[in-house]
Amino acid sequence: MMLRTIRLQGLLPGLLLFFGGANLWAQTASLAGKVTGDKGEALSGVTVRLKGTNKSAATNESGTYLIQGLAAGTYTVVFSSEQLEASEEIINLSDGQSLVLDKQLVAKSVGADPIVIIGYGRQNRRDLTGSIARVSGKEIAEIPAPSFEAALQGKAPGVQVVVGSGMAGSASLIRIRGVASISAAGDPLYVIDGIPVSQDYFLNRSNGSNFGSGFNNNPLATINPDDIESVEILKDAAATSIYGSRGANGVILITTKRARKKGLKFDVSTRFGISQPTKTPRMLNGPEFLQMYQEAWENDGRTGTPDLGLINVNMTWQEAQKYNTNWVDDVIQTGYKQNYNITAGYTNKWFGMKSIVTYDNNESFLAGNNYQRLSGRVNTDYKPLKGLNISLSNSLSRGINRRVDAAWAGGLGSAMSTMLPIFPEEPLLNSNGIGYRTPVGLGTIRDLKDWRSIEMRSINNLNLNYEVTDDITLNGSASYDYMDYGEFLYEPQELIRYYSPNYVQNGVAKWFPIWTSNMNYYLTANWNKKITPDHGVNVMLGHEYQQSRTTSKSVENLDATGPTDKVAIPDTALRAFGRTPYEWAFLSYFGRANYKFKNKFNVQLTGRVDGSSRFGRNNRYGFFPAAAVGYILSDEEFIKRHDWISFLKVKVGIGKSGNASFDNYARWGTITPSGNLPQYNGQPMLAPARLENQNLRWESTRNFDATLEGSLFKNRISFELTYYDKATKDVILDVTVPRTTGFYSMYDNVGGIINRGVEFVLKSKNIQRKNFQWNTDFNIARNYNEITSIGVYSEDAVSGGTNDTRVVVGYPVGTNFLVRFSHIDQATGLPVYLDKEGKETKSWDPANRVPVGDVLPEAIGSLNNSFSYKNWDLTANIYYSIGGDIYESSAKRQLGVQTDWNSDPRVFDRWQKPGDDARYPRRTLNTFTYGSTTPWINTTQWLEDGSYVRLRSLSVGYRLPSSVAKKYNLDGARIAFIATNLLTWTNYTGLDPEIARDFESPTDRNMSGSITYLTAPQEKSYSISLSVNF
Amino acid sequence: MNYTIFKNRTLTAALAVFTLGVFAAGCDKMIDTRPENELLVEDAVKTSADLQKLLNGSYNEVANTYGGFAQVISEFMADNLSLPNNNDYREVFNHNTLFFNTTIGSLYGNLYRAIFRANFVMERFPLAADLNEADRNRMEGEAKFIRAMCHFTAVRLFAHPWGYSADNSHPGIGLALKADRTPLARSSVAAAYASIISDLKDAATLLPESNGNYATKYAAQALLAEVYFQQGEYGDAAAQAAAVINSARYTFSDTLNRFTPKGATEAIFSVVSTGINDNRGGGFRDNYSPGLPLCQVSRQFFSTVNTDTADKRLAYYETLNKGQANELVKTNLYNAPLFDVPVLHLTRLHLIRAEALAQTGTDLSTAIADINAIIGRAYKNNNRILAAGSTATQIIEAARYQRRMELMFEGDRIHDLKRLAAVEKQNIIVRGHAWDCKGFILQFPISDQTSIFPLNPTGGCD
Repeated sequence: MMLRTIRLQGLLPGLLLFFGGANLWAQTASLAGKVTGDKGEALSGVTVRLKGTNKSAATNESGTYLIQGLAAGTYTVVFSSEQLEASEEIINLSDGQSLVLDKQLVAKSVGADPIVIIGYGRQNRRDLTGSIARVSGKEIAEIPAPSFEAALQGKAPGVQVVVGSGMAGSASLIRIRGVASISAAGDPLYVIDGIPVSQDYFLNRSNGSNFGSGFNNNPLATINPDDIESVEILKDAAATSIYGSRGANGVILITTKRARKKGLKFDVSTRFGISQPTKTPRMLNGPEFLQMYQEAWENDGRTGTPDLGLINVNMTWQEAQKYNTNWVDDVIQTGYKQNYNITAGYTNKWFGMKSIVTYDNNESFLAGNNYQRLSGRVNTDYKPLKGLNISLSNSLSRGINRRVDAAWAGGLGSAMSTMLPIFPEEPLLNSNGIGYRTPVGLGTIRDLKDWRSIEMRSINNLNLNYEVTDDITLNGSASYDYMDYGEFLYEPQELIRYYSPNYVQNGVAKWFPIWTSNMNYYLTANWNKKITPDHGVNVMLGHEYQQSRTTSKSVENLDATGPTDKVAIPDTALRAFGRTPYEWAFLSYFGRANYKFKNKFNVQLTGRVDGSSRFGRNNRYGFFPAAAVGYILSDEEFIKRHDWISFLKVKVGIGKSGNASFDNYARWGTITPSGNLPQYNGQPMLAPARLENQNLRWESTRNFDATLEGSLFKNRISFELTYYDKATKDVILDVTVPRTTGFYSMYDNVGGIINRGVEFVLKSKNIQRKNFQWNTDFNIARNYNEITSIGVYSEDAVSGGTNDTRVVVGYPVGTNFLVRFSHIDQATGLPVYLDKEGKETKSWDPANRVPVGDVLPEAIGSLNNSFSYKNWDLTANIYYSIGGDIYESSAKRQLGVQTDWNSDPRVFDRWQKPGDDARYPRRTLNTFTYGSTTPWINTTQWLEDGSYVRLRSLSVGYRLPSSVAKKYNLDGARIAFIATNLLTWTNYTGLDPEIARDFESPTDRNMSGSITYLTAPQEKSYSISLSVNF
Repeated sequence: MNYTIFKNRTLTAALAVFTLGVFAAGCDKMIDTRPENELLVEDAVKTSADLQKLLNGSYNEVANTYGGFAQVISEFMADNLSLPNNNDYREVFNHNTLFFNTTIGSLYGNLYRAIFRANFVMERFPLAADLNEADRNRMEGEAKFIRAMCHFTAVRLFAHPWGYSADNSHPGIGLALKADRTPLARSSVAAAYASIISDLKDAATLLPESNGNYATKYAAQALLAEVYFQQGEYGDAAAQAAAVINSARYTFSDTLNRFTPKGATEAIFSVVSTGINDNRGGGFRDNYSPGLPLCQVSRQFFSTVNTDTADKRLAYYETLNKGQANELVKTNLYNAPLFDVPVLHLTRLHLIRAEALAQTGTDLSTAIADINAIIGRAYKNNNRILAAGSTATQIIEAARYQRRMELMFEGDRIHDLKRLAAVEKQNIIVRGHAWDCKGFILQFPISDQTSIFPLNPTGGCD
């Protein structure tokens, strides 16, 4: 025994122990101290043992321990607990000494992380058969992000997170194991404390401008990251099929914090930071712009002083030479961020309560843009009777997003396009003194336009858990998710007069409210029985109903003196339009059975029957089964023999899940009533609005998953290797149908998609010393995506908005389908394209489009290094995305035919004279010069490799030593410096390679990921955070 | 197993509640949400009046198409207009239309939406219990008339003409004969004409002689005359034209202009405008009337018009910026805020009958009378009146000249040229492009490409 210890622990401690043992019977000394967790919280029930002796103690509720009656000498103190990483300290005790030894312990990692939240329950991680990644709330709350989901980036393998942009409140694009949908939403299902929350309006474009704002609303932005205890990401069928027709694109379970520690505890934290763009756009200045213009003018065979009228600029050449405005500077600022959070927790024997109040003000680098959120949460647990647990979770959050125009709708987008440097800050008056002949400045628009979206959201859940017997538990849950979202826009007369000089009324106020009322309830009965010591079963049966109703309005006051939330609208000025309310509902039955043999072999069967209001009459209910096994090999003798294997488990699962997020009423054949239609010949008409499709149903994904996970060398290295294969059929297409059908598009279940891939996680504790630790986590995921069928339809049957991505059989979802650009002809400076056969041609014909790239990366992952030295810690998280293409759709206007857009300095590499080997063609003002009948054409010239590696976050923290903390009656205190998106390595020549532009539809969102159209870059932020627990 | 479970009252009660919850919930109604501002078909279509409204919806698309839209696109393919300053129309003019051309796509969409709605009405007759036989026949006749008219326009624009191949087996269009979502295979031109003729024959039988502003028996016959004429079936064309002319329901008015607010007396079927806010002739007015119109008269055509100063129709033309680099000729014919668009009218029938009779060599005196009716109205003097005893060749020459002068912007020129080429075997070249080159027909919108519906070859005529 002793020898074995020596071999395992190393020679030195063994020797010390050996010699220390000689003094065992001398005068007594004592050892005392406090054991805390990684957040500085007191840990109770931790065993503190002196190696080689029978002396031990357990920590009490305040985390303290005391071991008395010790002889002087050298001891190895072992701190251990089932859920924590064991740790050792070597001490020297002298006679009669009372040594104080405080210790901080961290939670165990792979193979032991005890409890994982699963659908309608929780499970020991050891017993898991499905693929579930867990991200702790701490990891999410620490990183300043536009919205909580952005902080999931790089935290879990196979979870692609593309942060929308640096705009405040921006929505991220999340794809779990590729994308298995085309026209149905490809986002995962978000479930917060038991309710699938409303994410319907992910895509709703904003109403702030006439045609939108270049920014999608984000229904998750009001969720307070500080409320989150953990996020579980369910990836395979064994985990998701319990969510049936809605699980196919993965499920994200969000669990909010509940009180755990005895007594009254407070956490107070704050964070301050600044925001900057990762890359500031550099556009041509006035002289550069005019130089390019003049060159185009002359290239087209014109002479004399160039006339700016050709691009509808109402300035003379001489006038234009006078101005040189940097519009980018006009819209960019350094944004300031602040966050204040107070958490109070209290528990006693029968009652527990956690209250969290957070205020967050997140200014982005776009001047005038911020997102303020004030949120409060009270989670209570009440145990009135033995076995009965009543939990109530309530949150109320108010988010105010001060909006600015962006992308194609204005602001920074305009600075990168139509706001030419030759325009003065103050617009020039027309010669008759009425109205302006140059555009109003971007800063003026921003200052005059009052545009906010205000959202109030409350997510509430009541859960009753009753342990009827030791084996049987009943659980009932009812939730209500209410959202009151309104967009307020006010343009004062002063602003309108810039466009319509004779406007006599007051300003225009608009209000676009949306109300969503989303409720669900579920009941489960659970039977958990250890039939014999070797055989255990757990059976759960459940029933769930969910219903959501959304109503909206559009209100306009054309004679307003202020926004509608501040100045009431007189009835005389009101113009209100009700918009169509919509409703959806799901009715479900589900069950799960687990069988466990000898704590090492688990079998799980799950099934769910889903009915939905969206499914056609002929397909009211779908059945989604799954089966999975988990086998802990390391408990078998043939593995146990190998000391270096600490844990080894294999999991295999197969099952079916679906996607039902598509149009609510697509199954009905409907008629537009006469009142909504014009008349012909003075007579009313009726018109079919939609053709009936009572066969419409969910997308169905067959999902296979095989995982090998384990840890080696006493858990120093742990790994997880997964292979998955998902085959989706009946893919919902909002298919552009032949017009011979009388329609332009309709929903249909026609396609097939496969996603197949490998995920690998490696976690290593490189150095584990008393004062210095270095851990490295690495993950990589490779996904292969292919469309296997789109029925009789052509590539163009489904298009990713205006982005020229298409569905091509044999290629991934979101394939760039473009005419190939070959080179610039050195003799003429004209672009040379390739036809379908690869022959060079000077004319652009869309019939020559071929699949040339795709928006999905080939591999994504992250590398995380964390160091701790004494009370200091440093974490560097690197995120990478390899192999996806970026289509820079706006470059065709910035670098193509000279129009009313400004260019960026890349344009200098244009053809100027015969013999030039240039990247861009000769400048021209003539639409037809480049061999096309339309001025801006999509070709591979604007397609680039979008691979990048990014230092996503870097944080340095210092924790107050507990001895110091104690002096001030604190449980702990920490200060940290965090930088995000500090460095990016990429070959992409545009702004920022991480792109999720504003989307027009779910199809667009699935297919046009990394396509940019004046999309704002990501944000680079620097913050300091301070937290205190007491 | 353990019977104590069932002795436990609390448990029994809890299980009962649970079970109840499950079964109470097992109701389809809980997931039966319905759209709220659209009507389900069975709720919306119950009476013959509802069917009438649906049919009116089809006419609405006919109006959107034939209020000038289809005519303008057709005219740009031929030689009466000059190069337009619009990318989509420019593609038409250059005989190289791409499948992204949204203007062509929406014309095509309008045509088939009208057809879909016509089919939809015909398939919903059983829903209206009060539908009498006369109304049923009339609606079916109108629906078939609309279907035939739209198919005819589609096949003439998107496929090579009748006569392009010996048996007309060359690719035609999709024949939409049912209101359903099934993508159509591309049928031959022969099949398209067979379907159009069959629909029009049915319509001529089913329709009444008068029917307000909607399609009549004579409208069906007038259109049938056009179809036969395009095919070079001159005997049938003359017969159908004669049937309408002989009904004596349609007469020439004093004015030359058929585009009048309350409908011309010679109009057989028109797109109707009811008021300033319901002007359905916008396709003509908005494209021809503005100061710098999209549709400008080609020099070559205007020089032809301008040869005879006695031609009253010269008054329709205006020359702007005369003698300057930006000189242009436009028409003032559609310079009115409001007018009906006569799609089928007496002038067409006289011109068809005259040429058709001359082609067949029968009843030349009627043919001469037909031509003289047109000439007599159009000229300040009698110089061009055909003498009795003129030859067939003289009649044909006069008929063709008058066709071009009368129907100059009604979209006929391109189809006349194609008939001369494909049926009369003349060598027709427009702007250097032979009539049978691949760009001489419009490209379908990309939406219509399926594995069973190949688009037209790309690449234009160069």
